[in-house]
Amino acid sequence: MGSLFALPAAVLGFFVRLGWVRSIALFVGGAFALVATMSLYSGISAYYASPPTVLASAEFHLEPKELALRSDGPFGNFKNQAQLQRGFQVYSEVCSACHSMNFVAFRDLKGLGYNDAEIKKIASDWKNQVPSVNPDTGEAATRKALPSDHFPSPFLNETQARAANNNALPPDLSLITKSREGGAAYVYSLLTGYANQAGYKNEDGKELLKEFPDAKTPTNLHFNPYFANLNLAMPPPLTSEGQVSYADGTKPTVDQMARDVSAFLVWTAEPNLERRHAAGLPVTACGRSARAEDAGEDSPRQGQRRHHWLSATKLLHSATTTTRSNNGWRVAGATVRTTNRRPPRCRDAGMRSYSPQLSIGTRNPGLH
Amino acid sequence: MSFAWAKPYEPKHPAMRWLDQRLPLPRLVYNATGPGYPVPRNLNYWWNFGFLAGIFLTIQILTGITLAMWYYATADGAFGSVEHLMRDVNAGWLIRYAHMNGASFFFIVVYIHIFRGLFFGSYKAPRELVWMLGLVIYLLMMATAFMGYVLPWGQMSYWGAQVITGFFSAFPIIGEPVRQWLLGGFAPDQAALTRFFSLHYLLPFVIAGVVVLHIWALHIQGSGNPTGVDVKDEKDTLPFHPYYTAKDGWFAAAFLLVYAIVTFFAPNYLGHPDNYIQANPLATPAHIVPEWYFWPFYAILKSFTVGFILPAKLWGVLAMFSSILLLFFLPWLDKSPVRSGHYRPLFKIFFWLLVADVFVLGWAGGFAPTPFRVAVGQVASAYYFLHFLVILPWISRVETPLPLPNSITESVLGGEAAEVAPVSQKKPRRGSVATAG
Repeated sequence: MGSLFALPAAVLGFFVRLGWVRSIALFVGGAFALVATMSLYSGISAYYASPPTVLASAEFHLEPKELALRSDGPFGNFKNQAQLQRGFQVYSEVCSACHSMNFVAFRDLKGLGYNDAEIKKIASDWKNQVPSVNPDTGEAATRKALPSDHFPSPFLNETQARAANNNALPPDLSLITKSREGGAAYVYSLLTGYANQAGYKNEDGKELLKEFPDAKTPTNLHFNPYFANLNLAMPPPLTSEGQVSYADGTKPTVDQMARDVSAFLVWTAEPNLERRHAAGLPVTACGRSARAEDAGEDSPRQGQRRHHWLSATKLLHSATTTTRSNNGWRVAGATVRTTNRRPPRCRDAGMRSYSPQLSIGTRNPGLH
Repeated sequence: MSFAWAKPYEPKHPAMRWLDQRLPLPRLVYNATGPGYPVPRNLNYWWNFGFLAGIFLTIQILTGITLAMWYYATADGAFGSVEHLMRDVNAGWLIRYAHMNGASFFFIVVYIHIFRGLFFGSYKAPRELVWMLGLVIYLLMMATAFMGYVLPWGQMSYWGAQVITGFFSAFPIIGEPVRQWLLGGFAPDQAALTRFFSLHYLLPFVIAGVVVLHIWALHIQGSGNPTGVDVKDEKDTLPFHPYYTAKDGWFAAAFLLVYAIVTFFAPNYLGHPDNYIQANPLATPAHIVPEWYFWPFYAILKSFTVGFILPAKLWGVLAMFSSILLLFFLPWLDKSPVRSGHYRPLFKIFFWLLVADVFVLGWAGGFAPTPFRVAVGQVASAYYFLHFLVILPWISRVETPLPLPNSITESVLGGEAAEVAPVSQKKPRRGSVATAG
């Protein structure tokens, strides 16, 4: 009889000694751990019972190529205005046939170095007009764009855009470099990454169609290993050298056009990037020592030089004068001091006591 | 307030005396953050994060109020209004990025603050209510952050709202009606956006209210300290002002520098690119992930894939809610009389295992689910619950703590004496300092 109750008594005694809080805890914790372990076991056995099929996109998708732009890094800026203007030209003559740029206004082009008259002309010459209302009849009409207008879309609505593009919707390009993993480098890689799928091999020498005969690109799609599923609805937009003729004499190779338009799309995604960097310098680096990139137009990152902190002031000053001044935002205190011809000090940025070790200058070049 | 030797407030200026007699506001400030609040003299830098959390709450409220002046809570206009602010409003980009990254840094600070509490036993008697009010603040923060992330109406905003409100539909019978009631519809849309905006504006002030209670409860018993030994006399404490105002102040400046570097030079580093795509109910993103501060909980949610009595989805949701709610019971789960982890050799090992476990959970929850990542997440989820509900109660039964110092002063001065005159070659362990001194 005693042996019959020995086990239950021992279990009961264990919980009594444990106390009710710990008993409940043991029960709840044990239950969660048990079900998590069951899930683990079922996952592992399912994995071995039927190993998941490897997708062609998992093995042949490529990471974006390297792309160095003037807008990169903490000192990145939009001083490469010739390149940005070329990129705008590529957008106007090629991309804008299908892609809208809803969040950018013609007036914003001032940030690329165009003057008021030029902007007015660009707006009124723009191939798509702005929807409006006929003042006499009240019927739907269109009018020429003004500098205050945002870029008009090439299509009236999503349905029209899809109808014209094999049911694919060309994304809006205003924020494209911020809304894609890899940013500008991804855009550049995609534009230059189209390949002939027949006989395509990756770096390991594996041939795509031999490894995955089913992965053949469907009709109306285009093979591009930089696109997540390898098959892109957009036909190669930049196909031949000289597709756009540059006024500044730059050779319009496909690679050059792709670079230029990628640089331009960094600007459209964040026209205030240069201001952000310029404002961040005095706040964080405290004007102790700054390194500005003064590289040649199309060879960024070369010729980096050390500058006295005054060059940070210069950077600030030009940042606030070259970007849209109608917004008139002045970088915290520092610009005001500059106009007073008094060199900015730490306290001008509201910070006084940082030791040089904390500054992001030459001591901390890895901050990108 | 808390100690007999706390300096009483004596107004120096007649105007202050006048005010103090009518509304004792100067007295309140003096006794809360001035020389009238004695604080243990041995606080280390982990004790700076409560003050920092207050700073980030203030930053969020100030930037948030400004953002609300420019934001349209409409499904058509929300995304565009944020872009307008970023592009056309003077310093709008700064306010928006400061708010966006302020949320992330608020969570960084609060996570460090919580783990500080876990290691130094801040949840133990007599500070259980301080701990529990802190958890209430944390839960309110999570709700606020989630609803704030929905407001820009990007792809991750929309699909995050879809997934998170979907938790409720895991509950049988009442689940789906509750979800529809919360959203004001069958899917996130105008009704959901408007109420999320309303609540996102309200909750920070509720948080501020609970912060007052959190600090009030703290000041009744006084701050804990790294040795976990109670304050015995005046020698063990320093007045909050100027000692800790100065230390908190300089550390806040240093920490805000890191925040400024991210805000100015990598403002989108902690975000997801998909949220710069306007919400589209017809296009599901490849991988729906919440913001980084929810990744560990997201991993726990996804780890439960097998039904056992209850359906798998309900297990996941229950586990995710329980993972935070169980922290409310910590004072009664960990019965060790020793507060500080420094004197608990076994606890210390498992504490760091827990820290590693939470990082592993974050990794498992934040990236695309591969079979390996899911399996690791399941092991880490199981460990999370075992740690708090089985291991911690067990440790407090079997562990032999190291000898505690006799007093805070002794531990501090003992340490200094050992540094000044290193007689023995071996550097004394913190735990053995007391016996050495």
